[in-house]
Amino acid sequence: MKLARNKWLLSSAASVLAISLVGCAGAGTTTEESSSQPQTPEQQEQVSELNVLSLYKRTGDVPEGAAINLAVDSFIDSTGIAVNFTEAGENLGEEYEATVLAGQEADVIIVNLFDKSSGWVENGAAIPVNNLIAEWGLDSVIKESAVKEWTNANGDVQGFAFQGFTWPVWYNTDLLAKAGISSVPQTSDELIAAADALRAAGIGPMVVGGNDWSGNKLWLQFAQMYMDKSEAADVFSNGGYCASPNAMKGINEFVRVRDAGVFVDGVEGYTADQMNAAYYAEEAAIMPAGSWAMSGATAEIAASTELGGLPVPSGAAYSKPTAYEGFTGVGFFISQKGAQKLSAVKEFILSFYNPEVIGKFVAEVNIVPATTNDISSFLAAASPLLGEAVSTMQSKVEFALMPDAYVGTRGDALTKASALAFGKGVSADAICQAADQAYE
Amino acid sequence: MKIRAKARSKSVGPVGATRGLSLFSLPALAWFGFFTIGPLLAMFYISTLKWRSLIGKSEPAGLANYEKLFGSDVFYASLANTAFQLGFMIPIMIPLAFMVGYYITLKPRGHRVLRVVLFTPGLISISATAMVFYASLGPQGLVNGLLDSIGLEDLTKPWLASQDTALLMIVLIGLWQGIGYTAVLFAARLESVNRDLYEAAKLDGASEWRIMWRIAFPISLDFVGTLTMLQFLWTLFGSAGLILLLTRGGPGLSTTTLSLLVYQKAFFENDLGYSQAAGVVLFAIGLVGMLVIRTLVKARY
Amino acid sequence: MKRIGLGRLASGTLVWIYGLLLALPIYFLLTSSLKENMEIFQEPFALPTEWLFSNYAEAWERAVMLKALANSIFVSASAEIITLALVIPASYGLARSRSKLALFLERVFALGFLIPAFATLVPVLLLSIQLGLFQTREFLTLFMVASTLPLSVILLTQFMRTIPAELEESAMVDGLSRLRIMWHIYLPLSLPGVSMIVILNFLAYWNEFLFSLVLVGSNADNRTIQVALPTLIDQTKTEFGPLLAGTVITLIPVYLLYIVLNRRLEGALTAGAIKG
Repeated sequence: MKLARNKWLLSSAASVLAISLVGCAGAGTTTEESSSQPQTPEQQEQVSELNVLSLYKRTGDVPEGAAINLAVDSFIDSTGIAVNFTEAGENLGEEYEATVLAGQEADVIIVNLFDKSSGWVENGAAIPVNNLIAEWGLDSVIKESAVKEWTNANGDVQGFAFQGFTWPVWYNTDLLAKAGISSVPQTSDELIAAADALRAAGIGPMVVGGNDWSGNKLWLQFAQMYMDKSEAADVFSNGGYCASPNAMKGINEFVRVRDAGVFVDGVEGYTADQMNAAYYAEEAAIMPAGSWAMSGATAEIAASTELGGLPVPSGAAYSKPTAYEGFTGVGFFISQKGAQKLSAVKEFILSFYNPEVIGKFVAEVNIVPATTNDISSFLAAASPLLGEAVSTMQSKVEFALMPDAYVGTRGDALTKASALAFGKGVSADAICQAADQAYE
Repeated sequence: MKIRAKARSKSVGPVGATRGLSLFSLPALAWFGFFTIGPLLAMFYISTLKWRSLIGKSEPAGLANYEKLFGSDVFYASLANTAFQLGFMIPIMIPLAFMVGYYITLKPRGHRVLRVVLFTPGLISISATAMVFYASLGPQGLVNGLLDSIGLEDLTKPWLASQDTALLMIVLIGLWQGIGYTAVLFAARLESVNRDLYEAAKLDGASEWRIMWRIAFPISLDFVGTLTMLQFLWTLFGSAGLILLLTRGGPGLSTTTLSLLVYQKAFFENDLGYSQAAGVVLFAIGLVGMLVIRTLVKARY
Repeated sequence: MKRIGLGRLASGTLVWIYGLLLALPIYFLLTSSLKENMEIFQEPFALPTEWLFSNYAEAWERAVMLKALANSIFVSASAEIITLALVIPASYGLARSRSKLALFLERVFALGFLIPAFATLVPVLLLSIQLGLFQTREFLTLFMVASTLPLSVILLTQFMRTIPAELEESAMVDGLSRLRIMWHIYLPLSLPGVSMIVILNFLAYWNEFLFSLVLVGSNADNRTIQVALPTLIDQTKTEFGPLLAGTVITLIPVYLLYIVLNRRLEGALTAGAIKG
């Protein structure tokens, strides 16, 4: 029957097409890798437009708006090159990879180093910038420790580190005083005692976004309490929480602290937003929050807050309360396409490292820049908490291992395990099993 | 399911005259085939590849992805969750929706308003629905606020974040969405049922309830079957969007359904081949379910 | 007769309670869109103390809603027109044809329901790249048409089947061609069915998020309204007021369309246009 035959022809044509799609897609990446080399300035044609894909926003009333516009506008003014600025949200990783596949990717990508972007240089979707850092005069500008964080296992520096952060624990000393606690807890037992006193005074003790990444980082702080940094790196990269005695010690400590009522009720349902809201509304006295949250704190809250770390038990691998800091916040990646427009890209990126721009970022976005600039003059305009974080807080804490670079693509699954962990009565075994499952 | 069209001679009789009419559907068919059948077949093909991220390289891997899938605890957990979701939702939704739909056709006071209100969950997008329920079921949300105000603080919970209740919440939200929407569709169909049948039954002394189930239901059985099948497939395939926005499959694995697993493996865990293998299993389940529902409906006749 | 009254009352109450459950989240949506963060979290039920209409302005500007609305309208309207152009002849053909082929083709369309949308996301993405139409609204439109074809064809065919064949036969005796019959007789009589698929399809096109995100992307010039909305969510600190205000904005066109078409749909049905 003519039509029936046509139908089979149609579906086989479709399947041939389908298979060829996949074949072409797979092949496409390999040929791209070998053909693109960064061109010398002489070889480059006149660049009229730069395509930028960014996590930072320019539109609307966002904290980073003024700072970004300062950089981008000065670039446009001095070079006359137009900037096509696309803002993407959470899905930036997927979106970028799809554009690479289609051969339509942006030239510069402004995003943090996280599970997806940490694979770009390896897969040829971005170029290593080892030599460019020195060539562009940034080797004395970007901190060595930041460059190290952006270097992958193959020794490639994946991008230009720009935004760093600190991630301390915030203590509302006014509320603590109300509960009769005169100083910030330094040990786990002191924390538990403080929580009891706070509850008796009708104040929520520690609030955290148990359901999302903020709770996940806190949980991982517990998990690594008894491990040295290299063991922690190993477990974070490969899993095996149940099999590691030191990890189990940390998880048991977490369970002990949780069951002692240190976290607010219903903590497993909170998100970072709700954590911030609860702390700012003085419903809870303690929260672990990063420097990005400082813009949202009012002057009163900032005044009553003292920054510190997560108290540790005796016998732990750390002798002081722990906090995080890192430089894997937002940075600049250059794509293969961008490699063809290097002199324009150079001007664009350098415009961000202008001290004035950095100052604006510090003052308005409360970042800890990955640069060696002296930011003390800018701190005055920033939240007082930032100033405290980069100065007096430093001696009160020890920095734990920032898990993101090691956890990589397991981040999401591991967050589900930590969300489980914050639930009432969940056993340490159930927790370690859920964590291990994330590495399946 | 697949009927092989027998070879026919070109007869001119009545059937021959109308056969050409089927050609009118050719453009639609071609369009549909190109955009949906093609990718479906590609899904089968990709499930046999070892392909991690979009920009990574792919290589043939035979049935390795399936081996991994069937040996995975996460997979079986997702099957259990999917079974719970469907087993709970469909048998409750369809009868309730039918009853509500029937009720509307009785034209009680305010039925016009009711129709618009009932269709609401079908009108709002998944992201809007998720946002609203996120705010309602959060630890400081509507529901807990309500419980507090009537003195039941002990019952407050983080509904979406607790292992015991998270999946139940997803199912209840699904019911919330589905009953109203399906009821309006049922009402549309029931409008066209001949009222004389109802009158005759009433004269015989039948109650409204009996009329609904003994008369209206059998007449519209075909439509009921269609909508049951649609809801089954929509829930099986589409509920992942809501779960993605509300719980992302957590806490732990409690709300990870099979369709969520497909998305999760593709976009969060960079394992495209594995994800498409799960997609194939999903397709198979959909097929089996569709056949089962079809058989159940036909059997009634 | 008392029994019937009680039953009616009980079912009426239950239905209205359900209706209330449906309306409550909408109430929450509307009131929260006029509040700011702290108030939304602390006093979810209360009416806003200050009616922050500025939330709407902020959502409008930050998400560049004008462009996004234009894109959504473009995609939805084009898809709607193309779909009708394909579905009406197809349904007419399948409803009227008594051949086995017609039944077979109907089954093929039903196959469309079985396709797990999430799973075919990646292959469709690859298809758009191969066609050189990645990140275009045109491809999204073409794809959306295909995705709603199965339901539309099946539903409209069922509707058209209920139109008596005698009407057509007498028209054919009068010498009208099939196309004219379709246009002048079937189409008017199946308007309720057509209205139904117009609404259902519009909802599908307007509310669709995932494919719009992946196939068109987040560039403000091209993105649809559902993709623009989450841009109001910040990585670390979200203003829920403007977010919900933006959500309300996306709901308005849908409600308008529904209210307009609903009357037509209902009116035609109750006039007894279709006999069961």
